[in-house]
This record gives sequence, C-alpha cells and structure tokens, in this order.
Amino acid sequence: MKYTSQMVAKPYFIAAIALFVGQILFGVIMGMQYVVGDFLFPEIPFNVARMVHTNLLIVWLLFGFMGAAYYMVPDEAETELHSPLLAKVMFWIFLAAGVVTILGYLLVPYATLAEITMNDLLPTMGREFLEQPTIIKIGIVVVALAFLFNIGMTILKGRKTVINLVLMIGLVGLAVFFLFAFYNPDNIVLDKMFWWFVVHLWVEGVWELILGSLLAYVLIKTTGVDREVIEKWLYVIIAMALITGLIGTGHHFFWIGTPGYWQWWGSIFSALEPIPFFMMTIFAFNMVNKRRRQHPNKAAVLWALGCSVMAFLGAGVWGFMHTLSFVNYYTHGSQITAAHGHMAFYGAYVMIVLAIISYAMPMLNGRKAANSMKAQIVEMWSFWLMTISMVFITLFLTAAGILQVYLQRMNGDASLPFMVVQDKIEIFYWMREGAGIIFLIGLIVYIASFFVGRDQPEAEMPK
Amino acid sequence: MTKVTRYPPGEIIIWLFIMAELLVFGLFFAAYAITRIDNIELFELYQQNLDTTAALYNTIALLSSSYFVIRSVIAIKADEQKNAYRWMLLAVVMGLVFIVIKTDEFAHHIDNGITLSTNTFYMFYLSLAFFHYLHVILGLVILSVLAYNLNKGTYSSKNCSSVETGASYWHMVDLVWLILFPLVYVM
Amino acid sequence: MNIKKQSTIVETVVFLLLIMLTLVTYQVGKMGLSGVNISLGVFAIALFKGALISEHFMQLKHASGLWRWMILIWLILLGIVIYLAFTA
Repeated sequence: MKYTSQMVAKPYFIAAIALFVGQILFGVIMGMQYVVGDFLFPEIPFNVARMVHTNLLIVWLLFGFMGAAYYMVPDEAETELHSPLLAKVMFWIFLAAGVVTILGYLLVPYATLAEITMNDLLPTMGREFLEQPTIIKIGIVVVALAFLFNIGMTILKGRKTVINLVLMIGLVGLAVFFLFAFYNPDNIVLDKMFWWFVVHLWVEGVWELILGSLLAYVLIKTTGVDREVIEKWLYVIIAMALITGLIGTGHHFFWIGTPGYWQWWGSIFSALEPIPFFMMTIFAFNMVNKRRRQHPNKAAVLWALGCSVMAFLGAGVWGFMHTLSFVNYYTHGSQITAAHGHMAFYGAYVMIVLAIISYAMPMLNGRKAANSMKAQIVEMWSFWLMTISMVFITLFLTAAGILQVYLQRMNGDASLPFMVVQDKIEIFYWMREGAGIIFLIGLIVYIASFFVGRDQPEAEMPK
Repeated sequence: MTKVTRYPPGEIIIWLFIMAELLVFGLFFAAYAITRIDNIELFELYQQNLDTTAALYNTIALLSSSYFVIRSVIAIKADEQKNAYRWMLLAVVMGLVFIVIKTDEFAHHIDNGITLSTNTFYMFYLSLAFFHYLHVILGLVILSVLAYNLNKGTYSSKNCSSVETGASYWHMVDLVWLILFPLVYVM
Repeated sequence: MNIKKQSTIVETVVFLLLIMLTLVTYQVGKMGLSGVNISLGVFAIALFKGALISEHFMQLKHASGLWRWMILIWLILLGIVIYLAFTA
C-alpha cells in the first residue's frame, strides 16, 4: 500500500460487510415470511423487512464503492487522497444516516416517519428502494458530493488513468441519476418512468462503469497484464454498456402507460444488454490466462472471475430471459423477476465489492499482498458457499416463477388467483429459504476469514 | 508456416463498434420484416407515402460520399496531403446533402402530424430512419475532424490509421442505408 | 521517396456499379412493381451492393478469416430472415 491515505477505505469496507450481514438477516426473515405469513408479525411486517433488506443492500454497496474508490484512486493517480479527514467525517455521517433510516423503518410506522421527517415539504417517500425520508436523501446527496469532490480533486492533481476516469464518470453518473429520486410527478406514468432513471440507469448504466473499472483494477493488480490491453477492453465494455443500456431503459416502459413504440425500442436494445457482461467474462478469463505473474491473493482472483461469470448469468442471461416485451407481458413482476434480481445484484455488484475488499483488505491490515493461505482458503470456501447457494436461490425462484406465470397468466379461463398459486409454489419458497440459510452461513464463513490465520505468514508466490 | 492475420483497416476498436451497430440495426430490420408479415396492407399503403425520389438522392449522396472517402484514404497513403483533404471535404459535403434532404423529409412528416405512434409502419420507418440519421451526424462529425486534421497536415502515409478508422465507420453508415432504402421504401 | 499510389480503377468501377444498381432499385419502386419475387430480387441486389461495400469500400477483401467474413455473414443472415419474412 503506497499511500497512507488509502487507509480511509478500511472503515468503509468494514461498514459495508456489517450492513451486508444486516441485509441477509432480513432476507432470511422475509424468506421465512413467504411461507409462515405471520412470522415476526406485527413487530417486523413483511413490507418493513423488505425496505430494510433492499435499502441495506444499496447502502452497503455504496460503502463498498466509496471504499474501493478511496483505495484505488490514490494508487492509480499516484498521489495521496485530497482530504482523508473529509473521507472520515463523511463515513460517520453516512453511517449514522443509514442506521437512523433503518431504525426509522423498524421502530416507527412509515406514515409517522414521513410526518416527523417533514416529507410534506418535498415529498420523496413511498417509492420502492427510495423509501428514505427526504432529509436523509438530502444527506446522501451531501455525502456523495463530498465524496466526488474528494476523489475528483485527487484525480485532478495526479495521474489520470483510464480506470480513474471511467470510475469517476460512473460515480458522477451515480450521483446525477440519484437526483431523479427527488422528482416525484403526480402523473403515475411519469412517476414510474422517472423512477427508472434512478434504478435502471444506475444498475444497467453507470454502475456498470464502476463495475468495469473495479474489475479492471483488480485484474491489472493480480495478473500484471499490460495496462493498455486492459484499458482497451474497458473502453469497449463500457461503450457497449451505454449503447445497449441507455435506450434499453425502455424495457421498463412496456406496461406503465408510455407509448407503444417502447416495446420495440426497449426489446431490441435491452436484448443486447448481455453483451458487455459477456465481454467482461471473456476479458477476465483472458487476462488471467495471459497473466505475467502468480499473485499470492488467489481469493481476490477467484472473486473477480466469479463476478464476471455470475454477472453474465444473473444480469445477462436471466435478464435476457424476460426482457423481450412479448415474454415480459406474461412474466412481469413474477418470481422470475425476483430470480433475475437476486443473481444479477449478487453477481455484478456484491461480488465486485467483495473482490476489491478481498484484494485491498490484506494490505489495509498490514500485509504486503495477501492473507495467509489458511485465511484465503476459508475465504474461498465462503465464495463457493455464497455463490452456489445464490445459484440455487435463483433456480428455485425461476421454477416458482415459471409455474406462477403459467398457472396465473397463461391458462385462459382456468387461470388461478394469486394466493392460490402462491400456495402451489410454496415448496420452492421453502427450498429457497434453505438455500438462503446456506448463503448466510457462507457470509459468516466470509467474516471468519478475516479472523483466521492472522498470525500466519502471507501466502507466497510459487517459486 | 505461421498464419498471418490480416486485420481490417483502422483501429480494431472501431470494428467492434461496427459489429455492435450492425447487430442493432440488423435486429431492427428483422423486427420490421417480421412485423410486416401480419400487417402487409398497412405497410404497403403507408410505404407509398414515402418519398422514394428523396431516398434515391440520399442513396446517391451516401454512395458518393463513401467513394470520396476512399479516394481520400488512397491519397493520404500516397502522401498527397492536399488531395486527401479535398476528397474528404467532398465526402463531408455529400454527407451534408443527405442530412439536408432527410431533414426536409422529417419536417414534412411532422407537418403532416405523423409521429412514432401514428401506426406500426411509421413507428418502424421513423425509428430506423432517425436512428440512422443520428449515425450520419456522428459520422459527419468524425469526417469533419479528419478533414480538419488533413488540412493541418496531421496525417501521412505512415500515420493514417485514424483516417482509415473514420472511413470504416462511414462505410458502415452507408451500408446500413443500402439495406434501409430498399427494405423500407421499395419492397 | 515516391510512394506508388494505389490504383483507383477498381473502386471507381465499383462505385459506378453501385449507382447503377441503385437506379435499378429506384425504378422498380417508381414503377410500382409488386410481388414477393420482385421484392426478394430487389433485396438480393441490396445484399450484393452490401457485399461490394464490405469487400471493396471497407477493403475487407484484404482481411483474413472472420474479419473478412463478418459483414458478409451479417448480410447472409439478414437475407435469410428477410426471405423467410417475405415468403411467410
């Protein structure tokens, strides 16, 4: 670790993992509520657990991105971070805001939360994933601006690498599109349309730039492949992401009341959205194959490769399965959507954050390049536990979804009502919950990997 | 004997773009043709409202423009800086002819109250034509930059990869139109 | 050093051929000829024009392997889809 200011990444990474645990706990709670409807009712109603689960996911990924940037940018720019103090202050502000929000969801009825946070002055509450009180959203903007300022100033005074620039564009885009969370039109069609400007243009837009730059960074560090080669790949990948993803937003405009041509534009462009993910998979494996060195941090390489595969499967393949309008007509809002959503988020964003943490944390903890072999083995176990269980979660939900869509929407006069169908697919929900428990175990093993083998020597590069 | 890979002209990255663009346009063309199956009367009826003569001029404009680009590339490869610049300028002019004619066509449609929502045929025609139009504009920006640099003497026989790269992109724009014109205006 | 300039004859001939084929297509449209066979004939001409562009304008005739064939394959695939759609 060349620059001492990179250390500010550590609290961000720790907070990220802590919130990740919270997210999964609530995921397991909801999985239970699917099959035991009044589990933890009325203390933690399903909709509250859902808000906590989804909001924690986003917030911990944001902590992960920020930590990644604080670690990567000084290294890439070859200069110390502009203001480590600002980064530390913002860390506590963001963490406090996040905790307060989650406590607000859990302890106070949502309507009361809206009242006490004066939502009336500028109403932004009540939309999926954007349930945060307006003042918290404003706080997020402040934190984001401070973060962008800090990173931006660092890049300005140092070396401007392609990785830095792509990361910066992605992060600026993240902040800009979040502003649409403040735009809440009365017209429900417009409301929904602009909501996707936050969600789609995040995860199928600027976040892919962040993903690409983080992946490129980890690959440069662990393979030693020529920077120029990796940079060329990065350009092509993000170009494809933007070419397909921008108009591809239209695959969310099929049924919300927008004009019919969106069914065409959305289908055609979004059908090509798997391409950048496919390229990332080829890119990652190619770079590792052509590596000039055997990096001792095998866990980080595993996360990076796994990320490219799972992102392609979850976001690319599962996304493609229901992106064409004439398919989506039947599958919209079903368990197929949930299947895709889980594997896509895990594959693309959870795994890349875990990859960068895997790469950086040993050095933030004083190692030269990697953890001990013992710690890495435990970490790699956690990789397989979490990844395989996520695959099963996805498969079970896909099966549930196919059955649900068929019974509820494709059976003509014999189509069954929602709750009747839910009963019939219960078995899949039980199996999903089982897989979810294993995922949680995998996460616990992951955390254990930070505490084992600490006094053992670093894994060495083979002679 | 080792096999030598002969790459297409220009930077490889532009060829990846070209394939991506052709993929999108190809899908759109296929969607057009498949949708037409159940809407033959509608398509044939409104196809007659299109200005085939304007499309002819446009085709000739783009073909000429592509030809002039080739002449420019051949010239710069022979270190004929001035000629290369002149040919590229001509290419830009022909591209502008396309833009002028096409803009007039679009204005005409707008005047008649035709939008993407008018009917399925117009949805496809306007989408395809406008999407292509945007690519012509981008191509013209690229060619203009090349022309400017040629005039400055930036390129030479040893340094003309950028010219070939831009040329390749422009030929793709031409190629797409060569499919669009017969498919949407004539068939 | 005098670099021998590449001949422009082939490209010029191809260009004139492309113009001529365009005029043919235009005439078909103007004359209002209809029918599946006419349409497919027109499209075949378009595909041939496309191949002329890829081989001679894009200079892919000098490229090797898939690089040369990628656009030709695109044209063939498009031809198949259009054929199937127009004869359905």
